[in-house]
Amino acid sequence: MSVKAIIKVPFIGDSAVGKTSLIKTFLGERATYSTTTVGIDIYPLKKNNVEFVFWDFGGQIWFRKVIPELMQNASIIVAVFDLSRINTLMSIPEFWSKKILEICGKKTPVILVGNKLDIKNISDEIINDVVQRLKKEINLIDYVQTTIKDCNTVINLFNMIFAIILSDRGC
Amino acid sequence: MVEKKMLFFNCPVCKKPVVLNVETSDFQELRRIAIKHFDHILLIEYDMYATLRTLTTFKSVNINEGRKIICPKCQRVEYIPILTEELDRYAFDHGDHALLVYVIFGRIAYDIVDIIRIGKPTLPVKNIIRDIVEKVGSEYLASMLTEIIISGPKIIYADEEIFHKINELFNRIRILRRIQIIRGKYKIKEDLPLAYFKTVIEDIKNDPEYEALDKLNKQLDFVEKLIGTLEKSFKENPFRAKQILDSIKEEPLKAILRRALEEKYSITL
Repeated sequence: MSVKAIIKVPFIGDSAVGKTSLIKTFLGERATYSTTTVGIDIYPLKKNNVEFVFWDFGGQIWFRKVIPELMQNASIIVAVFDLSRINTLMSIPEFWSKKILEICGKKTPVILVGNKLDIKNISDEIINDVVQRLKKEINLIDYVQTTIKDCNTVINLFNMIFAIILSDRGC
Repeated sequence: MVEKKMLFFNCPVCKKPVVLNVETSDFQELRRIAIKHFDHILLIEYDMYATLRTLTTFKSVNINEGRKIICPKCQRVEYIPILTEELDRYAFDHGDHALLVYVIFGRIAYDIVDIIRIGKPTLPVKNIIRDIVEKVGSEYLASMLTEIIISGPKIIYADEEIFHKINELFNRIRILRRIQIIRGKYKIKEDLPLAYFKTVIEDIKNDPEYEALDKLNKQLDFVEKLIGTLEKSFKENPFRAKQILDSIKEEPLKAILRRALEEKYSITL
């Protein structure tokens, strides 16, 4: 059966928030928290005759000049922060949401992901304020919390991505 | 196993080079440390390979009124201005630790991390890339790098006057170690898209040497990996490969990728 379309899904966020781990966990690959992504990695997956391509962006500051540009033509964006590092949450409204607006515009759907739920130490009040603000600035569809220690949280995230895209396409 | 490694970067506040000797081991999570650098404070996070993952700057204030902050670790009282930006950061040096204060849309969050102090620049001003550029120009080195990325030659010629420096540089860059360098006249390949690496070289030639080499390493890895990704994607789905290439706005980079795909894999995108 031929593939109808290619859906680009960039995973963005600061370094070491767990972007690669989330993708690899969902795809059933071994995930560790310890290595950094150089540039980008691409992970294709076919579902319901649609090809999803997960773009795993290197989060290091050094790549910030080039990498965000690669978000263009995204069908949906997954913005990830680390629930144990407040600086990574702050980067979302301070840097990443601005890049989303600049490169993808206000219509592209975005899912905000708080990862490493097992070691969470950021208060819900602060997260909620950021979520409310992002909803005004970008097309933030939802906020979810994940941890690779509980695969169900990761599966829920990807099911949400599939549901948003596939329902939009009437699949 | 504990290993000592060097971590280096340019301070984003005062632009001075910072070099740290850090101990790495098999820890999985990031190491976080605050650095009191002259009159400002930075937060760095690095991994088990001593790769710098994040670098965050904080404002320093010393005021006796404003919004009261009590350090959760030592109970010392500090103040930050009542009127702050919606997103703002302040840091306070509390001896053995730093109190990092985040203002996020009016709410306050804290971080407590160990602090070290650096008061003087520690790097000798040396950069092998600048030495090469001063002798033969950035186009010369850009031509070599572009040729290696596009055509993957096993041998490359380097002029006598620059031979040792090129040899030393290539030995210190992962992708370039496989190239054998022979003394001889090197002809700049003007038909190749040189603009990308020319800009890279110009950008890094005045950095501290460790940082410049690190950036060049990453830059070459990045381009080589992109070529590999495009080639793999093309085999699986040419439309996806085109989508990836179209996402790249930077024309000089695109030109290298296109040329490399043509020369190495006979792929036209």
